Amino acid sequence: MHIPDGFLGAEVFAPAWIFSAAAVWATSKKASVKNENITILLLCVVTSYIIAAQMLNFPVVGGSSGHLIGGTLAAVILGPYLGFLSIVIVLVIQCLVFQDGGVTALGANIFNMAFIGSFVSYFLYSFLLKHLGKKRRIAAVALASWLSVVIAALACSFELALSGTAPLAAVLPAMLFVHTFIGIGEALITSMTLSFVFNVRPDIAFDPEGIL
Amino acid sequence: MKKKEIVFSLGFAGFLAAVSFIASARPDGLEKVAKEYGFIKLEKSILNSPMPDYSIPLVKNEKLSSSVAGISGVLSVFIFSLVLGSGIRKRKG
Repeated sequence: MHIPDGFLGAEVFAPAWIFSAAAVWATSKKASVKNENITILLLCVVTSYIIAAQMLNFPVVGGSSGHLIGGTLAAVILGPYLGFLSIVIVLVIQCLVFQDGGVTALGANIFNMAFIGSFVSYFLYSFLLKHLGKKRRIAAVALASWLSVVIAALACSFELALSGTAPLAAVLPAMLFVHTFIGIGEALITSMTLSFVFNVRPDIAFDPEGIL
Repeated sequence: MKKKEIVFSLGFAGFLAAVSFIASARPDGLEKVAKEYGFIKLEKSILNSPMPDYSIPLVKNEKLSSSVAGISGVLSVFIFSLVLGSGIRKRKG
């Protein structure tokens, strides 16, 4: 869902840039790498895995493809603050080194994939965890990651429509439809990865509220 | 994290990047929608990246080009995370 340059008007990309820059600033003040289990190296490892997994597009319906975003994965392991920064790092490198996602659109891409991907999905994950119980942790992970992709597609559609690039009535159903399927891929990859992580290192998971 | 775990995780990330040429070449969700509704033509690039589309222009072998670009991506985010993580810790004292 990386928006290239040219798709968004200044009235959309400029506020998105300001919002995202402020979010990065505020988050890096709030984030902590001093917890017992959350170390700088864990941040490095999670971010490295996410950029690699993002390179592997899988085919979905209608001749299109999708790939992992990784926001839920990062937030469940690192917490929403460091999780957000982890996806921001991925998006910045993709934009500068690989021309994947535009420079003007970077703010919007950070909002859709890092902010929604990490903060919104962490909120969904902890909400679901409280209601489903910790035994259904993987179900909470799967649902939160699927929803985060669909919500990101919703945000992306509004950004395109507000820019006058495409009418909302056309772009919104089309984006939601394809991302319903891409979200299933996100949920599968995120659940498989986290099942493995929880098995080998049950102590690794961000849990400030003591739900687990 | 134990050394063994770090080596295993990074090795796995490197492996995924190295085989990234197996990725589906179909347009992604947004690209597909952009093609369908005709706004793909608005796409422009205002920056010349060193490895556009996860490939290295100088390397003719497509698989090798994609592997090397992928591994460079993993190394780039590793270094970036290390710098940012250290910055956060330093500031917190």
